Amino acid sequence: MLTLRLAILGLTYQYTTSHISREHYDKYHSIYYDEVFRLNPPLPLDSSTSLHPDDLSVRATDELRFTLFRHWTLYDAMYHSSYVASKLGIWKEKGRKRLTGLLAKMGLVTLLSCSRGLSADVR
Amino acid sequence: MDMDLKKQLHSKLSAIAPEYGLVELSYPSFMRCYGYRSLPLSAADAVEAVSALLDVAGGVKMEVEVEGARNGGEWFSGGKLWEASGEARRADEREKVSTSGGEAREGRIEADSTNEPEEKNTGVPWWAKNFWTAFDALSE
Repeated sequence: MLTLRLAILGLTYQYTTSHISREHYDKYHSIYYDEVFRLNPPLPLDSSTSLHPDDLSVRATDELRFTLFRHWTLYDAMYHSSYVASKLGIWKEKGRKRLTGLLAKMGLVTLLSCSRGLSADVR
Repeated sequence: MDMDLKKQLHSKLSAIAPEYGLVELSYPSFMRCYGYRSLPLSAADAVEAVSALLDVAGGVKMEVEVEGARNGGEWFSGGKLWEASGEARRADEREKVSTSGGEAREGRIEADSTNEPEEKNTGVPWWAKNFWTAFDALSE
């Protein structure tokens, strides 16, 4: 179980720092995905929090390529993630406008996307 | 941020982001639960935390709000890591490397071949300390 967790962390590190390609990541991810389901009890659908006090299970989720977007504001997370920054050209005035434009198109006022912590009040 | 947005974020982003050239924005990953002690921590966040520990644990003076230590529980094992005491030694070391680069490197290779412990007087180097800090954070 510990080995699996460390393996997942190592794989995630290599992918988020672009050491390996998406195909490579997917290949190993499917292996770990099967292992996670083998070692953890099956879950009710759509649960994002712990089920009971000693719930230390690992479960599969979808992840966005933003840095720490569960803990930062959405704007900060997008601004500081290298993937978004390089795609939008965030170091130029134009790129920054594109980011705010993207957020606006999603129907988010800048004030709203600045409220902290995507998972802060799930509890 | 309201619950509605949290649930729709993925679908909204995947609908709009391709216009801006942001393909492959989300990827399948994992997260780990911590019972009722803390919120589930995703693999990417854990990676950020551990690589931050590897880089700067105990080496850089930094003010960490108490709020920040709460995220992830055992990953940040207490505020005592963030002392400024390591910084002076680290700067010393950096200076030493920059002033006598080639010479020191040669000396080190020699020391390695004779199996002598290098830098006896400075004790454990900062990167080794950081390594063990990260190591402790990863183990149970």
